[in-house]
Parts: sequence; structure tokens; C-alpha cells
Amino acid sequence: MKGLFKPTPGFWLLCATTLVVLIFFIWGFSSPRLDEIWELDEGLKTGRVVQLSDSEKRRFYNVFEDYPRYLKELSGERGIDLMSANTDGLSLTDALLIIRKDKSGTCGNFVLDVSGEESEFPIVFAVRGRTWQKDVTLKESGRKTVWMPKGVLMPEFIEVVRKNSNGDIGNVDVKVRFCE
Amino acid sequence: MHFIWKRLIRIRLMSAVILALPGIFLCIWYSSSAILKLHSYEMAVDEKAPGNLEFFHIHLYDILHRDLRWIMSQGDVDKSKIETLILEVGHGSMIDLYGGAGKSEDRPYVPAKLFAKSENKTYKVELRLRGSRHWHYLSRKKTMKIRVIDDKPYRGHQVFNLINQVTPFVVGQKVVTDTAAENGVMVTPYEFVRVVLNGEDLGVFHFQAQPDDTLFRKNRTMYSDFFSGNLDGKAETMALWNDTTHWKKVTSRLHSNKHDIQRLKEFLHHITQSSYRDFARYAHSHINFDAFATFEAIDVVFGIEQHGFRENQKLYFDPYVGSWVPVAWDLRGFKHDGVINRVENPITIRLKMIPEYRARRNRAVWDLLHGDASANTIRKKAQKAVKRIASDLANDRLFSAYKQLPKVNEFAFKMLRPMDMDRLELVLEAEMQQYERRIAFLTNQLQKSEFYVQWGDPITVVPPNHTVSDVATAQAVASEGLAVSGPEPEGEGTGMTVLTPLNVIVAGETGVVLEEISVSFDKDCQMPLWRVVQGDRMIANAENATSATFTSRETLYAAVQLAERTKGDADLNRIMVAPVPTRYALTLESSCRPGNIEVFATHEITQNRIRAQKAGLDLLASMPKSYPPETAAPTFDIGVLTPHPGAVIPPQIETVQLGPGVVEIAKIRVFDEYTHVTVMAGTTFKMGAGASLIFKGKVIIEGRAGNPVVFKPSGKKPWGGVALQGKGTAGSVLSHFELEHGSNITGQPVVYSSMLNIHDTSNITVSGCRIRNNHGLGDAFHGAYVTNLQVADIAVTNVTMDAIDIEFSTANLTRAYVLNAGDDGLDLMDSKVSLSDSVILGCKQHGISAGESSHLAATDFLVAFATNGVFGKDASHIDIGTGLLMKNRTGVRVGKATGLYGGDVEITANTLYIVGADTLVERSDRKRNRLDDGTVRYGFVDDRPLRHFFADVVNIAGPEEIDTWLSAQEVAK
Repeated sequence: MKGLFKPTPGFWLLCATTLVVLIFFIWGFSSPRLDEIWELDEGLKTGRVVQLSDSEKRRFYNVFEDYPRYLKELSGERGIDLMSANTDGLSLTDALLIIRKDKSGTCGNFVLDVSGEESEFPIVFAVRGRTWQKDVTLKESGRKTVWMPKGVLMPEFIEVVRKNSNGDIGNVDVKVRFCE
Repeated sequence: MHFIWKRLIRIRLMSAVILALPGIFLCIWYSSSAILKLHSYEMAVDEKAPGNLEFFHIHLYDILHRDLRWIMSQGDVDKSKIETLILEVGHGSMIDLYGGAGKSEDRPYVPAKLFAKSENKTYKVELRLRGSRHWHYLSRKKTMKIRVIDDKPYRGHQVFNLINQVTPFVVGQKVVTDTAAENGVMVTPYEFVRVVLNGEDLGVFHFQAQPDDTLFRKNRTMYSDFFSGNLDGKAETMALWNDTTHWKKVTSRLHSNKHDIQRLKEFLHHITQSSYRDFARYAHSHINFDAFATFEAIDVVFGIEQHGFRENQKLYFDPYVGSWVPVAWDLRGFKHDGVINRVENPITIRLKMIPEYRARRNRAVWDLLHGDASANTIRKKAQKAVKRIASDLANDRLFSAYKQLPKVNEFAFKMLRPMDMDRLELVLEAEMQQYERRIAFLTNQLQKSEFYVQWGDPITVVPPNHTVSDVATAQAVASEGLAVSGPEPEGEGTGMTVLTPLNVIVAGETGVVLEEISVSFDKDCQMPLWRVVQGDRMIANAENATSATFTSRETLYAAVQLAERTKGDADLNRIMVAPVPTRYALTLESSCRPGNIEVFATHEITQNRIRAQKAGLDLLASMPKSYPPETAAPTFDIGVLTPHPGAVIPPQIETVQLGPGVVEIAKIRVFDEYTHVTVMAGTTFKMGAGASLIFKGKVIIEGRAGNPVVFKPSGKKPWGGVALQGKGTAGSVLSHFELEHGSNITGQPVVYSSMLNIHDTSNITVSGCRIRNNHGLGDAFHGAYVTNLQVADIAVTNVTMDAIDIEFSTANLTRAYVLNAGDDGLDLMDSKVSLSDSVILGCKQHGISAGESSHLAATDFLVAFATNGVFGKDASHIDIGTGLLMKNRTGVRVGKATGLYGGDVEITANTLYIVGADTLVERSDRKRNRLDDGTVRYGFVDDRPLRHFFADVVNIAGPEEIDTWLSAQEVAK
């Protein structure tokens, strides 16, 4: 009775090929890494994507490692640029996402130019890099320079979100200026 | 279930192999398809994919998704909302056709049939593959060039392209093309069509007509010389501009000069060789600034990079304006890289060296940014265009695009990938946001007021009646930008004892118009006197103690320099035209030493009042130390600087009076647009052989009925002609004048085909005009591009070609009398004309000919002794109130439509008398032998409608006298 259910080599062959075919098609239909990155990139540009999850950031970092030119494209000549939706630096989203190249130590700051109704102030922004974070407080409309750690060893995303606001930036305009 | 499991677990090896085969086959099939696709792409771009599975996976993913989409989509061509073109190509021809894939030349044409669904009509065509970039030939959807062999072209186009346009923003070029056309840029029609080739639905293509006859007609311009220039990859960059080798003459005004490229040679010579001064003169006369400025503005606003040193140069020469006009081609844009011009070419560079051109270009950009190309308008246009083709795109199984991978390298960026509506929506949003960024950038660039002031230490001059040399000293100091105390000579005089070198500096893209200067003086300075001078001109005089208005509204521009573009796409040419801070040296003359000085101006583009900022040391240091002379010829190298632009002062009008009495004109004489000419009554121009008068400014001929102005030859040889040319002549009035024994004007860039020529102008009044006995093959009266031409009481007799020829104009003609014309009496092309109380006798061709979509309203007229009394063709409309056609071979002839103009010819009449014609009405399509409506009378049974004509126009009692009246006219047999 026991020998009756002993699988034949044919069975094993069938199992193996089914598995291979399944894996092949599952892999084939799964989104390629670059495709996902493109969609995220376009999503960020258009404001459909506002913040990146940790795994999404990791995917970006992996791509930056394999394709340094892409990082250069995103960070521009200054080595730092705004990646989330904006018009000439004026943010169109509630959270700001900045990309900074590893060798951008020469320009270790960016300026938040904030304007809004008096009642909105003081505003506290949480600024979070790859390995650091700080709070930036503005008591009134105006500019505030944000200094970042120098000598960054790896590219990083820097998120700027208003603190204690449930992700809503409120009735304020935030313009980001770099290297001023 | 148990049974199946039992069978499976005990399956024999061979059976297992057979069962596994389909799966293995599928894996092999898709793997090999992906590998083949990847490999063919690698071959096409001559680049290897990075050595990992990344790009294999992408290709596999795309193929699997494409097949899934193929299964899901309906691909129903019948439901298409756009024109469907069905092509049939023989099997053998398909092999030849595909043999041309990827080649840059020697791509064979193959015969085919084209069925246009909207017209339900089949055309005989030839087609070949077009384009050497991989997306044009790699997929099943290949870009094709179609040549119609039939006499009647498809929608007026003999040659057109069906392009597999693979930019993800699929409607981008359509939006730009439409915006360009709305703003008067000459551009070929651009549409979407669905293409079926040998039964296979290839989906949505971009239809782009080649520039040909239709382009000129649709743009309401005269068919003329048109040149196209492109360089192949190997040629040196300047090769397109140094000679005409790489240019093709696509169309020619006359068949006889189809190989004549002298005009282009002259143009290229000016672009590459002329000095600053000579080029400016040539450009003002022979380059249509507005057309080039608008075209460049479109390139600027949409960030188009397709019109560089090497490609897509298309130039049209307008024969009736005498100037070059650009033809827009390949308007792929929607890019922003932080520069105003993403590419330059020698034409845009040379033109931008002329401040007035830059002003027009900036104005055109500003108008677009705030009008037809504002962010909201473009977003709406894009959404509308997508909506129109959405269902077709959704069913397009071969819909693909590049730029659907991050720009990790060019290989990924240019890779074609399947596209769908979700992705299109994402791309549309991304492109619109990028466009908004560009709009913001350009607005900021144009709004900037880079306007500065700087002054040196005052020089006290005593005596106060200082000399020119003292002023010169101060200005020399000013021009050096230095503050130096000068000598203090003794004396007394005007009270202006202090000279202060004053520099006004312009550094930005746009010009400034000097408005006001205010100066403060020490408190102990009582009633200060002061003024501002430039050279020996006083340009501002103090109205009160502290401020003065600049008396001449001078616009100051920065000089420009060719600089290296550091921003933007590295693949594009790196040259850019950048303004350099430019100083205008003035002198403040005052009775006391000035304290603070403020200068105000109007921003040329925004019209905002701006205050000059104090110039910093950096700015002063960045100013050129010297400028090249006007007689130098620039190269296209980095660092080349233009001469100091000088203040652009609005030109002064000069008035010239000619006559009365005899005025001898020995040769061609041209009065420029700033010269207004009045010709007195009783003036007789004795014109030398071939001599002509060309007026570019306003002209008033003040002839009177008994004392006309006469133009006649001084000897036996015929003279040339008279021309009113250009917008400067607007409002001219020509009264009671006679022209005889002239011919036409030769040796000019503009074509003057008649004794009297009126071109490119508006609001012209002509009355009491007599033209007779012309020589050579020319017309008597020619109006082209004239808005509101009023002609009353004109008589044209014994002319070799057309008596009155009106093209692309609006005109009212009344009391016209034509006798013996070698061609037509009244010939209309694409014009809107009314005719009344007129007589046209003895024309060898047509008494009245209305062609090319003309509209003629004619009443109370007579046409006699012509081949055709009234002739209409090419979608023209002729509305006749009351007309009399006598003794013509054919009364009314309705001509064929040639396909260049949409719609039928319409000739209607309230009451039309056709008397003594061999054929009353002839229609070329032979369908009907009658007019569309109205009353046609074949005799004078009821002559009441003609009473006004008989009594007031030809002065007879009634129809019984018309034969006698006609025989009294000297109609040539």
C-alpha cells in the first residue's frame, strides 16, 4: 500500500516543470524594479505620491547604487533637488521630499521660504534624513536655513513634514531654495 | 480527486514529459521573444544592455502584458472616432517595403492602395518606410511616407507621413502645432488617424503633411520658393549654413526657376558673412521679424529642441512681401531644463543680435504665456485632444512609447514600452506640471528688471559756461566707469557748473524705456538747475528742483554675447545668446553737486515702472571693456560679443512733396517706410526705361478730375510700375491719376507683376484711376495681402494680361471699367470682394474669375465678349444680385474643385441675364446645366432689375440701346 503512493520520476518531473513555469510567469508578470521606480518618480512629480515608504526608499537607493547617473539626473548640478511636486521650488504637496547626492557636502543647506496666515505660526517642521533628524521652527512668515550634516557618505532622501498636523501642511506656502 | 492524485503520482516519465511540454514551450517562447526583442533593440541603438537580468525582465514583462492586453482589447476599427486609412500592399511589395527598415536612404517606394474612410474613396499611392530612429521601424507599427499618385491629392496633400510618434505625451505635438497655427506660424497640418495595413489594425498614427502647395494656400500666402535644410550625421555642423549643398528647393514659384537657389545663397551669405550692420539692414527688409519671433517664441515656451544648427530648417520666401518666413516642422516639446532657448541656430542667433528682434521675440513669448499657451489653456487643450482619441488609444494594441523607465541610462530611457490610458494620464499630469514649471521660469526671466545706475564723482567746471570738451571729459570718465575728480576751471555763464558722469546699465533679457530721473542736492543748494545730456543731446531737463522726465522715449537694451550653456541637456548644442551688462553713458549737468540720483524706467514687456538699482562692483566688473564695430562680421563661437546696441529711438517721419509739374524719374526710386510722400495735382512723372516708384511709407496722390497726376514714359521704351509695399503704406489715398505705357517692376526681391501694385497693407483708397496700354506680360492692377482696399472709378484698357488681379485681400470695387484684357477682367484668389456698377468688355479668358475660396458679391455689372462671362472654381462663392452677361462664349462656367480647397463652388444669382452666349451655363462636373438657385433670364423680357445699370452705369435708355452702346466701345476682335 505504501509503495502504491511512491511518486514516480515522471511525477517529480511534472512537479518541477509546473513549479518552474509558475515561477517564470509570476516573475514575468511582476513589476520590474525600474518600472516601479519610474511610476514612483512620476507619481512624486505629479503629487500623486506624497511620501515614500521605507521599502520604496530602499528600492531607490538600490537603483542609485546600480545606476549613479539616475541619481545625478534627480539631484541636478547642485547635487540636491526637490523631488516632490513643485512649481519652481514652490511645493504642491503637504510633504516635501528632497534628494541629496552623497558628494553634496559643499552645499550643506537648503532654505525653507514659508508664507501663511499669522494664525498658522509658529510652525514646526520635522526634517528627516537617512540617519539624522531635526526640528525646524518658524515663528513667522519668512526664510529659514536648514543645515544638514556634512560629508554624507550615501545618497539620501530628506523628508520635510509639518509636525503634529496629521500630514496636512495647512494654509501655508512652502518654497524650497537650495545653496543660497 | 483521489483518483487523479493517484494517477499523477504514478505518472510515467514519457507522459509527464508530454504534459510538461506546453508549459516548457510557453516559457521558451516568451523567453526567446524577450531575448529577441532585447537583441533587436540593442542592434538598433548599437548599445548593449547592462549585463544582468533587469532588461530581460522588463522585456518579458512588456510582452506578457501586451499579449494580455491583446486578448482583452476589442480593436474595433469601425468604432474609431478619427479618420481611418486602409492601406493595401501586395505581398511582394511588403518584402521590398520592409527591406527599407532602419536605412537612412535608398528606402524603396512600393505601390499601394489607400482607402480613406471619411471620403469613401480609394487613392493610388506609393509608400515607403521613413525615419531611421529605432521606434520608426522596430515595432509592427512603422512610420511611413505616402505619395499620392492620383491627380487629386488626399485632402489637398500629395505627400504626407504616417508617423509612429512614441513620445509618452502622445498629444503634445498636436497641442503645440495647433497653438502655433493659432498664432500665425506657418505649420503643416497635423492630425491623428487610424491605420489598417493589409487587414491588420496598426492603431493610431500621427498624420503630418509635407509642406507643399496646400500649406501656402491654407496659410493664405502665395505659392512660392520654399527650401528645406537638414544635415546627415557625418557632416560638419556649419555645413548647412556655409553653402546650399544640404538644402533642397521643395517648391518654386515658377517652374522655370525651380533650380534657382540664388535667393537662398544670398540669405545664407548674410547669415554667415554679413557684418552686424549689413545683416541688420538685410533683416529689416527681408526677414519677417514677427513670423520668426512668433516661431521662436513657440520653441521657447514649449521647450522645443528640434530646430538647431543641423536639422528641420524650413524657409519660405513670400514673393509679395519680399521676406523670409519660417515654416514650423517637428514641434515636439514640453521640456524644461532651466534655459530660455533649449537650442539655437544661426538664424535665431543672428536675429537676436538685433535688439528690436529680441524685443519682438520677448513680446511674443510674454503674449503666449498669458494667452494661448498659458498653463490652464494648454492643460485644457491637452485634455481635449486626449479625449478625442481616447477610445482609439484604448483599443490600440500597438500603443507604445519611450521614456517609461527612469533615466538610468539612454538605453533605458529610449526603450519602447507598451503604453496604456492609466500611464497616459500619469504622463499628462507630469508633463503639465513640468510645463507649469517652465511657464513660471519664463515669466520670471522676462519679468526681471535688471536695470542699474551708477555715477562718478562730480567734476566742477568754472567758468560755468563749460565747453564741449568738458562734457567730453565727463563722458569719458563715465564710459570708463571710474570716479575721477576733474579740473576746476574759472569763469561764469549758464550756472551749470558741475558735470557728473552718470551710467545707466541694462543687463537683462528685456529692454527698458527711460522715463524719469530724480536728483537730490544739498540743502544749501538754492533752486538747483540741472539736466541730463547724452553726447551733444539733452535728453532730460529738470522740471523742478528734484525730477526730470526723459524727453525722448528711448529703449535701452543690453548687448548680447554668445556664451556656453551650462544648464540643460548636454546632448543639445551648447551655445546660447546671453545678455551682458551694457552701459549707457550720460552726463548730469547741474548747478550744485548732486547727492542721490534715482532713475526710473518702464519695463518694455510688463510695462511696469521700475527703479534702477545701484550697480555693484561685480556688475561693473562684468561689463565689456570694448565692443566690436558695426562693420565686423560675427562668428558662431563662444565669446562673440555684439556691438553696443545704442539707444533704439522711435524713427521720425519725414515728409516729401513731389510736383506739381514734371518730375523725371530715371531709375527705380524707393521711399522708405518713414518717408511720407504727397504727390501734388498736375504732376507728370516722366519715367525712364524700366524706372519705377516704390513707396514703403504712406503716399497721398492729390490728383483732381481735371488736373490728374500722370505717369508716362520719358522716351519710347516702357517704364516699370508703381508699388505701395508694406504696412507703412496703410491709409494711403490715391486720387485721379493715370498710368500708361508702363510694364512691371523688375530687379526687386518682391514680385511686382503689374503697372500698379499694392501689397501687404491695409485701408487703401484708389479713385479716378486710369491704366492703359501696358507692355510685356504683366497685369495692370495687382493687390495682394491688402485689407480694406477701396477702389472706385477705375478704368483699365488694353492690357496684356489681367486687368485687375486681387489676391488674399478684402476689397470693394465700384464703377470699374475694363476694356480689352489679354487674360481676365477681374481675377480673384482667396479674396473677399464686392463689385458693383461695373463693365468688363473684351477679355480673352474670363470676364470675372473667382478662385481659391474667394467670395465675390457682384451686382449691376455687365460682362461682354469674354470666353467665359463668370467663372468660379476651387470652393469659391459668387453671389450675383443683378448681372448682365452678353455675347460671351459661355455665360457662367462652374469649374472643377482641385481638392486643395474643401467644398463646392457656389454661384447664385437673384437675377442674371445671359444673352447671346454659345453656352449658357457649363458645369465641369456635368451633373447639372444650371445655376444652384435664383432666376436666370435669357433675354430682356423683364428688364426692371437692370434699370439702374442702364440709366446710371452705361447711360442708355434701356436694353434696346445696349447693342449700339457695345458696338461703340472699342472692343478688340
